[in-house]
Amino acid sequence: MNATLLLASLRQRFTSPMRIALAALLSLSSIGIGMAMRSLAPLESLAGTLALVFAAGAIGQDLASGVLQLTFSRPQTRQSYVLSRWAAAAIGAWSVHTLVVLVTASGIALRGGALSPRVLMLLVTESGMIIAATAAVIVGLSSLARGLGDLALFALGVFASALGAQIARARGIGWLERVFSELGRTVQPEIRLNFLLHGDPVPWAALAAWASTIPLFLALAIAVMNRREISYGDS
Amino acid sequence: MHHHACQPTPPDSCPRRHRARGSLSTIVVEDLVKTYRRGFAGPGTAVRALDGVSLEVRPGESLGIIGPNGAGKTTLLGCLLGFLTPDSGRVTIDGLPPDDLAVRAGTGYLPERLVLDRWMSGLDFLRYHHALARAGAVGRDAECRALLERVGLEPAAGDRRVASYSRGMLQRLGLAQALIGRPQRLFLDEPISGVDPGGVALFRRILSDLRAEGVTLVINSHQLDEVERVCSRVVFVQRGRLEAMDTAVAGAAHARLLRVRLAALARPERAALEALAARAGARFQTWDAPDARFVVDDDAGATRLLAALIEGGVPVVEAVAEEGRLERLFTRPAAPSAT
Repeated sequence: MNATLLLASLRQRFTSPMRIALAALLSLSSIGIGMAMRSLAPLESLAGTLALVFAAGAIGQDLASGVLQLTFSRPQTRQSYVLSRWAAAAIGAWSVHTLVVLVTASGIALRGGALSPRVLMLLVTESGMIIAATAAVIVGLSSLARGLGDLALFALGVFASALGAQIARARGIGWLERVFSELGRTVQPEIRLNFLLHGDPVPWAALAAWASTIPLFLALAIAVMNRREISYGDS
Repeated sequence: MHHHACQPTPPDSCPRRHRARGSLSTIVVEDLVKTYRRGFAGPGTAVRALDGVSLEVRPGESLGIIGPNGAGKTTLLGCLLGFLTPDSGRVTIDGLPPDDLAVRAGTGYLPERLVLDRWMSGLDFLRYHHALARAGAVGRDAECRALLERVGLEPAAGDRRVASYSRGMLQRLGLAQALIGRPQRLFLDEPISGVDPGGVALFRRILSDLRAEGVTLVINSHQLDEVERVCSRVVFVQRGRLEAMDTAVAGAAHARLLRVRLAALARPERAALEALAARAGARFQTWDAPDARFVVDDDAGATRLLAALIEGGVPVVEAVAEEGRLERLFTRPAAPSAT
């Protein structure tokens, strides 16, 4: 990981008008719903969406613009470039999500609601884990497609896994349904840490799936980028 | 065919004979082959961009790469920079692969199509590349500002977003970026493209200074005049092959058309010009006031012709080679393709 690349990526993400507008829209609507319901539950699904907003095109847009020629003419490894892009997307999305959680929690508290600090900590940690994994998925897909093609690949993955699972279920093929469900969880990583609050058994399978998604997709991105020839951009 | 193509230049300038002299060389290219495959693989869809290119660039040398569009120049530069992977053959820089981080630390690059992070200011962009180049944080700001000044950009321009830069300003900023960290070697792809005449003169001066400092220059350009001015050696690439190599010394031995401009009111006799040319071993071609054109055999022939004209009382005010030394490379018959 390279601090210069990471900070530049972070700054790039936070100066993109489209990304900021989308993040603001999603955040404000989540805050509004959360405060109306006096619950942090609506914020759970925001984490993955923010990761999409901040990670989309992380590598693909650089490939399409041609900016990578200059970056890779410098003494920087492609591995550190990939890791920096991932970390920047994850940090950007997680900081926005944490801000949203804090604003919503403050609003709920001002309206007389009670939230335990443990629940807040849990939600922030959980969202960080989901964001890290989703950003890794998008960065991996972004290394395969120029521009915002990663979003198309992501949508295709979500759609194909859901459709495959449905068909397998309808035909009663249990193992195939599990394969498609697992594929869906890989593309859309989910993790719930409620077991820490309620003393439930540790969901090892879910934790392992989450933990394997990050290295899997980052390794994919690094392998693809190491083999990729760097040429001028599309325009 | 390479040997055939090399015949017009002195024996030492034949590309085949420059191969693998080991440690003396900064950049060694050996039998480089690069093929692009369009769509799904098939014999008819492959385009051979480089076909056995070998050359050597010595430390401190300035090499120009010229050739028609689609000849393979940019592919060659891409391989030299480690952006493209050749099918076979190899490139080494000081004995290391071109994408080695130690090589990159001593390399500056100005691409033809300069793509910048448009959200940055000019100074941000230089600071960013200064950090990526591992040039050291101490004095970063001062060095970046000095580079802006060196390429003729106003200090205020450094604070403007690069999105608002003109084409010429971007090119100047690109050159400043390439000079970060005082690189040992510079790869420049069409460096003066889009630059105004003042900028061209500045670029020329900077490149000349870099040559004097011993920086190795590799310049890919269509601007033959600039290549001729800046480069000590030129390679001509066509159909992915290194068709010829030229040096200033070799170029001096070639015949060329010389345009001699006379004083505005001069009306010399055509026969007198013919006679003076014949005495100097040159051939008179045309008289179209105020310009007379002569064919000379080489540099020495040009000197003799001008001396004869002046001695003969012809009021010469200017003499220019009508066709640059390098243009002849584009007009010579191409070697037959093997593919």
